[in-house]
Amino acid sequence: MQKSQKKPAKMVSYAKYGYMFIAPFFIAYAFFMIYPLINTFILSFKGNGATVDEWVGFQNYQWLLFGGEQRAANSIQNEFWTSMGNTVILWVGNFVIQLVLSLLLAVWFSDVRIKIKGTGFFKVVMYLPNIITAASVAGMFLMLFGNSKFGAINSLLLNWGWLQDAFPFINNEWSGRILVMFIQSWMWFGNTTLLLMSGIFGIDPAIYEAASIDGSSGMHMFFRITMPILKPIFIYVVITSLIGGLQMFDIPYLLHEGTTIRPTLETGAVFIYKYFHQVSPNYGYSAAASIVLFILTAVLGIIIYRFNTDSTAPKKRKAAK
Amino acid sequence: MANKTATLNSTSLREREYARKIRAQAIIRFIVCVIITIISLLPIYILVINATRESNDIITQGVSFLPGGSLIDNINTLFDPEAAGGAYVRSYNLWYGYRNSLIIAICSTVLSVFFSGLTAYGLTVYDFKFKKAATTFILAIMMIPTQVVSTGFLEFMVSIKLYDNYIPLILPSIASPAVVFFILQYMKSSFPTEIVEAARIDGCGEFMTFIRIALPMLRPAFAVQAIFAFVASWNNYYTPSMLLLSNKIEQRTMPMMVSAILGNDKISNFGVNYLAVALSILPVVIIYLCLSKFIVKGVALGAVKG
Amino acid sequence: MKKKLLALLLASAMVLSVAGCSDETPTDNGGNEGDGTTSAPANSDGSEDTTEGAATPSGEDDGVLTIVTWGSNSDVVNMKKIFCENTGVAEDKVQIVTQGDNGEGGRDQIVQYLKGDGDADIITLEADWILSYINDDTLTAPLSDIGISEGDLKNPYSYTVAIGKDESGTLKGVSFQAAPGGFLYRSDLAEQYLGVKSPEEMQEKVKDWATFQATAKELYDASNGATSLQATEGGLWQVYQYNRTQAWVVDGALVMDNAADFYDIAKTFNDEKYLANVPQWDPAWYAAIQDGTALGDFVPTWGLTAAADSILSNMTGGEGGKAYGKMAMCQGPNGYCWGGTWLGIAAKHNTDDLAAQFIKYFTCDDDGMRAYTLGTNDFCNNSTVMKAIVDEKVNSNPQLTDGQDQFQILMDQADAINMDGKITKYDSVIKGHFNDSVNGYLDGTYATKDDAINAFKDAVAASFPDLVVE
Repeated sequence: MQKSQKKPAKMVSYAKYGYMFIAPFFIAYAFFMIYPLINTFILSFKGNGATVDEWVGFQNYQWLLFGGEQRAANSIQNEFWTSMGNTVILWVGNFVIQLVLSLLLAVWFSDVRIKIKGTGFFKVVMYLPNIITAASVAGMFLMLFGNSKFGAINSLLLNWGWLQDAFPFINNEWSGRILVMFIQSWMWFGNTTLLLMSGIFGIDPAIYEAASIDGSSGMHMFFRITMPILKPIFIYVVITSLIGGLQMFDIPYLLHEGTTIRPTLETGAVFIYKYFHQVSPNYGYSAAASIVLFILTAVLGIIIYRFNTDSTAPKKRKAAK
Repeated sequence: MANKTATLNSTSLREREYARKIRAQAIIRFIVCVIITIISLLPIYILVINATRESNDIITQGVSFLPGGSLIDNINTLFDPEAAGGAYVRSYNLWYGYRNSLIIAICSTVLSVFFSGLTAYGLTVYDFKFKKAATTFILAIMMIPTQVVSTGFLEFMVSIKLYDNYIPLILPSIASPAVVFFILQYMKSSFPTEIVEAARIDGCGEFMTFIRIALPMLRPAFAVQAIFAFVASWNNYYTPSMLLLSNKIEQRTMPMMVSAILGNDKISNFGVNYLAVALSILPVVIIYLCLSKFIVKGVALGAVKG
Repeated sequence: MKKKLLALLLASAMVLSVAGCSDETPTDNGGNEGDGTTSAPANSDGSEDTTEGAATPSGEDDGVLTIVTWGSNSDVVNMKKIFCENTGVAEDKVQIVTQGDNGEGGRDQIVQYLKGDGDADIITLEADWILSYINDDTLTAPLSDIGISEGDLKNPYSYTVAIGKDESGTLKGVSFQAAPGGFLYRSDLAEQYLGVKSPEEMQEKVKDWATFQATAKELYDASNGATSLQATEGGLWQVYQYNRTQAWVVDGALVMDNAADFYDIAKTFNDEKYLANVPQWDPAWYAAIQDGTALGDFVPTWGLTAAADSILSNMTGGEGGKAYGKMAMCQGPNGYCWGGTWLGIAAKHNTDDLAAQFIKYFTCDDDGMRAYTLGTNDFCNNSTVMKAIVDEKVNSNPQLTDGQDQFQILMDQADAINMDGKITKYDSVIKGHFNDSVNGYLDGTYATKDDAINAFKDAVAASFPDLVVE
């Protein structure tokens, strides 16, 4: 896909090195992952629960996507579509905040003109939320936002008289969703910022110095210099967010009191996990749902990638080193 | 935006105004950063504070911002062979936990970063028939939902008897599509392929070119991905717990130990629970702080070198 | 949310253990896997660790009894100690392998462990999932294999025997404990608001569901809304479900029985604030009892031990705590049991004599069972022994008012439990869905009771495509 930027004549004789360099990856992947992949694919055409060994053709897909006569079919279809809807809501909510914030911070931290005091410290601190496992994070937020009057925020608001009764932050449809969006952004914005910064750091400071002498403004430099060079990394961030978002699992799965997963927080990945790990496992639904989710992610991801790569390639910067 | 009168007047006035604007900007940015820092650190702070509190205080008083006086008691309980019928020492051992998790996390981080670098380099520098297909394939497998595939993986590992050891926890990281993709993208923006040809003219072998030229230049990308890979591996609970079948304490990883305490539905000393969690993240924080310095340094070197 | 592949797997971290893998059909889970592991002479794990967690190669009788259990099950650890002390069997002849951190983690990981080469003789089985294990012959073997029959058991509570049988009536699990429960409440607040002075008087106030509700209102009014009678919805349901007259599934069809009524009861309790509605196992649960937001909750035997971290200790605040010595126990509206652990034998068992000796000591031997109860404060599965202990008045619980002996209350409860014909392998999943829908009704996810019931039936239909759900 980047042939245009290479010099074909010189490349040909080195082809074998290409294969050698990428071989370990493919060998390891084939060894560890081919079986699970095929297994999932096969399961998606098999039954559920008591009929888990029987071939059922496309029934799982049909039930998931279009429902059917039976109560079970409609129930599955309903739940699947609801979970996909939840996924999109939760993803958009945290993706926008996270990306804007990360981009802003990355630009600030790499700004050669306006130096923020303690940049090093801030940079380091912002990644810390990502270090704690999701289980502990969810536990802490449950403690802070507990539904009952014993939740920290509730008890504060009750003490101040701002609330008459405890507000069910977790159980309420929208406050629960906003909380998930917030936690997801909180956990991952440092990660995104680091990625973007590493891209910006790769840019030769001399370019900025030159632009600075030319009198370019910060905004100008950002859009004319930073963004074009950062674009591949930016695409990476967008695509991985897309994947992570469509497959968002941990926080929605964990953020509930008692044993009930919040129905308004049930994402596609939670749906898959739930049916796969039931006492009487419904592998069929799960496997089919994960294939559907995969196809959806892949189509969107590859569209973004293709769309952006083609326009980036010719702009490839040559002067850098 | 430029102030016309300022331009007409003296350049020194313009410069002063410019400096003032920059100062104001810097202050605003500083404040925003402080706020974000507080939000980022708050839960971690609460976690650490709770580790110093008595279980019943946590039950009755909820969140506190001041440390309690039970840190020593909590430490003693956590490591007391008699406490809770020995349940704590049976499931939690810091030395084993740190050692095992460090071995796994360091090995898989090194493998993941090195081989991803190799793969991305191969896909960027060389031209070959299946290059496009290979790149697309890596992109595609990155998008496979993990919830179901992971179970198939566990089954497969058990069926080929690769359990009770660290191989299935370490070797699969050779194939980390997301890391490859990142380095690919990074090389697009910051790796001029001409430099490879220059090295060839100098008589450098292909593999040595990768080691000597590419690795140092890709250092910022490596450092970032190394942190992510390390944290990911360190926090991985599910796979080790399903593959270390004998569940010997000498073999358990840190998250398995933490989970054994948190998941124990018969003991619930909240102060000790928080302490167990806090101790488990300590090494990651230290390693992260070390690596993050390296990022900053690595960046400077990488940039200057060109 | 980047780095999905890694991030999701790992970030999902600890809690993933909560969900199980496959119990109903564990062999289907890995259709392509070598199931021949049972007799494999291999020893991929050659460790000879004598502490908990070691596994030795299976095959011939190795003379070492291996008990597979889960992390939070301290019963087995205590049993090993008592068994070895009293029978003279060397401690290194009995080893304990832990799989999973809690009951649900155990369900998941013991299957996994049995697929490997590790040795396994006795398996501990949790009430919620015992049926999926004992109905699978690749996992468990009949107890008659090691010479134990139903007749050998000494005065067991009948429900424990009923649960231990597979679909064909073969005895595959026996329990060393019974897990009846009662209503645990703040005796000081009960006296203040209800004028109740003893557990007997309290029992009169909660003897059936109508009275229970009336008392809840009385309490609510007397305390000006400060105190709810019941802390958790989960506890309420745990007890109420024993009112069922039929099993959840009869002839392949879902039967609601009186479950539909529970929606109304729970709703009334919630709306009228008779229910504090705090989550179980959460600090809020214990806080609600300590600060008098809730008067009490339903707690079974294993929550009442003296251990510093038991439910009772957390509710009283431990020695010097707010409610220490200010709680008491009565039977409650109906008999119930909660959880409990059974002993079964692994299909790959090989140390038969020792396994039989161990199981018999805790299920067929009055002396052994007595030693167990006195040593652990747990409730052994022998009505005669328990009666003797109560009659001798040797047990006094310092956390309860006047050192009340909880066994006295629990003994009657255990007698009252009748589970004949009401046990199905679908139970634990159906109960989960039912609780979900009740909670959804309480928190407003479902606007009406019909919506909630419909959602419940949908969930059951989706989970068990082979069941008829009207």
